[in-house]
Amino acid sequence: MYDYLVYGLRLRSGIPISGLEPLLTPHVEVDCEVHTEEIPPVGAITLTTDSADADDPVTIHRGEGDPADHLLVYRDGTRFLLRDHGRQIWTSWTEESTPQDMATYLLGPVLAFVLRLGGTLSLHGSAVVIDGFAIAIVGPSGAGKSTTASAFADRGVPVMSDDVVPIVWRQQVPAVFGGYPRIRLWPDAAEALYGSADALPLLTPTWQKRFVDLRSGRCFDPGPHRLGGVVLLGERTDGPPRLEMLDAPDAAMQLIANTSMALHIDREVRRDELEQIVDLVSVVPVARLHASHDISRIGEACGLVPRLLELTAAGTGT
Amino acid sequence: MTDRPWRAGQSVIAKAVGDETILLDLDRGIYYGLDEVGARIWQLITGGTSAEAVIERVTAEYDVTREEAANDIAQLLAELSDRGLLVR
Repeated sequence: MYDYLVYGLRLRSGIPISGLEPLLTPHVEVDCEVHTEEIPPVGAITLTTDSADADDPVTIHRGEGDPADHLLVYRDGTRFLLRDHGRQIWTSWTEESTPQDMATYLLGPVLAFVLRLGGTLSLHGSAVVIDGFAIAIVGPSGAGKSTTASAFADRGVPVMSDDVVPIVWRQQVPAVFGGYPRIRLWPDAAEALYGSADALPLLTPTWQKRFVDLRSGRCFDPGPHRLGGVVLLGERTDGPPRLEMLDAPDAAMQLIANTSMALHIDREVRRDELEQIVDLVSVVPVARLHASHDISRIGEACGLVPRLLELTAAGTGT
Repeated sequence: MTDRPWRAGQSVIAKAVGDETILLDLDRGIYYGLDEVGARIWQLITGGTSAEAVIERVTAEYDVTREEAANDIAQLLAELSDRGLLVR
């Protein structure tokens, strides 16, 4: 058995999970068990998703029980059955895929979905640590979240997470739990930042995405850390990068739009998440960052982000 | 004949954020934003205030003529009703 800690979840798996570092001491209790035995049958309602995002499943089979089973089926045939709010996960993949492909889904959208099934708000984005505070960097696919996180890492700023930012309330203070020590980059982003896509290893043998290994000379910080601010990546600009504060209603709507696996959650989770998001924007500043089209100016964009913490220190949210 | 009062749809949650309000249609998973005036109209109309009285209140509280308020409120109520966010 392999035990891991990721996004604050105590995970146990029968096979090693690519990208995660196994713990030396096994968990006494686990939040989530990953099984690779045959997936049990699901009496199910089938929901077909029309998302073009490769991270989104093609179909979701939702069981009728309470809590409902969810069977997520991806384009390459990789499957995940989530049972008991995701405490039990079965997975399988086809001959064309690999365990690394499975891990890519598991450590991204699948665990984001598990977090949300368990009532944890999960933003679609990366997180870095500045002055001891977690700063979430959110935005839609292709907005530059991982590129920005990599730029921070290259400047010695610890990175907590790439793709999933779980937010847990502790005594009415929002805290972020870290993910795992990798940042996933498309080849063009890798080339822009490091001169060549080949400068970084492939994430899986079947996919063109690369990864930055945060264990090698860069810093991974598993947290948890208090959330100090949220940066929403906006349209890029031809001029110098700029940061604009969002008011609370705008911030709330933007965060709603940037939760993970938003299409697939049920009404009670939605209700609870709306409450959490409204509370969040009352205590945490949210700003829109317009980075430059010129990638060589990404350092300037990174340099604007600590301004958010001046507001956090003053005790004011958005 | 007196119209029955408006109320929020059964699957609709309204959450105030600052001066504005976010409406969530739980059945459809769709969110809507109401600006400050829209939020005030929502608050009044779902609090049992008649449409006529809402027009009076909005005219008194904001820099609009009665005719403008009446048109805007009628349009908003129609949109909210069409989406099932308000029912009567």
